[in-house]
Amino acid sequence: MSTINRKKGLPLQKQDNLTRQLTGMRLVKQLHIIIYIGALTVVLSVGAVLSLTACSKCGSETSIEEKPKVESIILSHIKQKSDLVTTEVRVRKLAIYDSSLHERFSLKDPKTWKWGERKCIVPVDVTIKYGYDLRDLTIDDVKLTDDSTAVVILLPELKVIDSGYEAKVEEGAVVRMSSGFRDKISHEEVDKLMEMTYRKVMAEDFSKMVQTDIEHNAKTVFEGIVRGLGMKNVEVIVKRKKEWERSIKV
Amino acid sequence: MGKKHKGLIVATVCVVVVGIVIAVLAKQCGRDEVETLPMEDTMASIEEVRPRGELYVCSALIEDYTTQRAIEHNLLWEDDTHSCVQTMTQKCSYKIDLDKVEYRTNDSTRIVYVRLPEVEYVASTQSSTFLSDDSNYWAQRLPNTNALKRKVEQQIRRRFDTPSNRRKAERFAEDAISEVLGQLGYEVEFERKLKKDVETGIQKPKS
Repeated sequence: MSTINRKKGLPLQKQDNLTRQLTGMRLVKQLHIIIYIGALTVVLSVGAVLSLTACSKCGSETSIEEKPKVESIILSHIKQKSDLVTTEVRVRKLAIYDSSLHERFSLKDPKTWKWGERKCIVPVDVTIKYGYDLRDLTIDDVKLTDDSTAVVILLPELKVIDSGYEAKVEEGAVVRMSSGFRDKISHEEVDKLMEMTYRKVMAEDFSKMVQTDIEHNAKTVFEGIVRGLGMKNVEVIVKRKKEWERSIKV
Repeated sequence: MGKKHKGLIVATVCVVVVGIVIAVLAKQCGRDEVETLPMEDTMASIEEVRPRGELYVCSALIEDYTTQRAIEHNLLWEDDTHSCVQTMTQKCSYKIDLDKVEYRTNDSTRIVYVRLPEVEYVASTQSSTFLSDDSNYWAQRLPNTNALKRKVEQQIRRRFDTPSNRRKAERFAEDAISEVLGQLGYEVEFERKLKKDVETGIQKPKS
């Protein structure tokens, strides 16, 4: 005897299939609702966070105050000098920082978990002034020839009289890039890069490259003094003291 | 609302919260330190070689700083106060331009009368450091630190370039010139000094 649903007059097997189909459809509908609610919650939460941040910033008004000046620190007292500058050399070096070239990812070290890259390029102008310490010049280093037609000046060791770099940045020339979650290139870093570049330039020896210019300019300066003293027809000859002494020994 | 719905909403909120926490942690982990700033090797090029004829007569190393404070007003939470410091170390010097030195000689007496130009103040930057409580904030707020640096430079100049230091530098310049000309066999008299002697009525002893 087959089982018959007395209310609708359908066989029980068919009714079961129908019920199963109906339940399945209901589940899919529920799933859709859940996904919808979930997506809505995510969108709302992100929106809330963003709007909160934006709102808090949009009403912000920044007032800048300056603290009273504190007296400078004198690192060294005034030193008496007698340094002759004959040549000024302007050197330009690019300070380049590229995080992608140095950073390695390591699962064990959370400090290396960095998303994004940072790059910065700053041109640094360094000025080096070369010359001689005139206190190294003794009376024996200035010689007048017997016929008074020439003055021979023996130059002491060449030295850097003054050097420095332009700390103020030319905004258009500076490149600052940061992507992902990385910090912006800060003023701290730009200053640090510039100072490091200055130290690197000073570690290089440019004096040998411009030694002839330095000596030639020294000759011009001494000629100016000699002519100023009224010795119009006197030739000025400059020689390196060390080489002169060596030649005398030989 | 059914139990299932409630549970799912709670789970979604948890996922969102965890996501935000992870994002904040990732941001904290990725923080960059100024101390560890590796720099690429680049070529230094000589841009210009200029002849000079200057005599540096004295110098000193001076450091100074200036601070700036900014108050950030927030609508939803308490105001934030940010501050930054710009420090700078400069080598300050006085120099004279040798081209502007005037000489008048008297060959019979081997005395040279020298008129020196005004000593000039020069400063060269040795280091410059910017420090702040929130580097990202200041990177946005200030396009550059040139104004702060200019201010520190002025402070350093005010500190070094005083009338007494100028007088000291003038004296040093006279010493330096006397030494050089002395080596050329000349006795030096400075015109400024001569004028002063005349004004004060001091008479030079006759040799």
